[in-house]
Amino acid sequence: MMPTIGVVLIVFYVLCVGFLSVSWDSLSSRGRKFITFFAVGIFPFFGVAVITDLDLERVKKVSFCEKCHTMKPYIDIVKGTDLEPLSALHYQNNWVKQESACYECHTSYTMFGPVQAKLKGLRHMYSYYVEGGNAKPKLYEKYDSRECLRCHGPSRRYLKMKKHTKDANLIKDLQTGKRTCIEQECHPVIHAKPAETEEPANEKDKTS
Amino acid sequence: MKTMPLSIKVVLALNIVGTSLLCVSLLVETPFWLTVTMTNGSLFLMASFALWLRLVIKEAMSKGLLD
Repeated sequence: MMPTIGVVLIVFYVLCVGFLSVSWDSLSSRGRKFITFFAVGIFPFFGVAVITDLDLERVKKVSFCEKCHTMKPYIDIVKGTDLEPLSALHYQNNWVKQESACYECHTSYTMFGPVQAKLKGLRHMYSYYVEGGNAKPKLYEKYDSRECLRCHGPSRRYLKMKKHTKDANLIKDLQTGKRTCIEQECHPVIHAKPAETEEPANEKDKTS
Repeated sequence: MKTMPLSIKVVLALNIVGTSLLCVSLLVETPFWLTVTMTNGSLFLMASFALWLRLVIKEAMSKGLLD
């Protein structure tokens, strides 16, 4: 639907600007103002909205993330044949939408989460091209377990699992953000570092 | 086109460049070029809109419609 609207808008815009340029001399003052209003006053809002929507939909895809040299090795590991680490397990078992796997886990599940993700993307760009790149990507802040719990939270398997019920407060602490799933004794490795892929992986946890 | 004021020509030129850049952003593959084309395209369109709005306000003021 969106691409069709985009094409219609572009055609409409080209017609407006073309007509304005060719027939400026023969148009009445009112006609000039009317067409200029559509070409310059109306089109930018709808055009920018539609094209930005199409672009932002495209950048959610893993195929876009892997275009960046820094991320390529990490995505190769996720897509590889080994089911370790946790990110590969999720990707290869289709526990997250494969097409947009990076986006699914690295976007906050809040009202402005997707906007924050885009702003972080711009920060990555600045860091990569202005500050001389970042060989070892790091999260800007502690990973919030809320992103894991939006799928695992209501899962019976997760709620009944021995590891999770051993400590009476664990599930509550995870929900309130006091603790995180990515702890040394729980799920320490989410992405294997490219150089370390040959080393033995951490203990598998396929149950949650 | 001959009698088109320079200000409108500038507005249209900025508008065409902005739109073209946004259209190109749909075709580029790399994050770098996507950022360049999207941000610059939006900036050109905003600049064209701001200039056009300035012209409209100026004309309205000259006709005594705005104080």
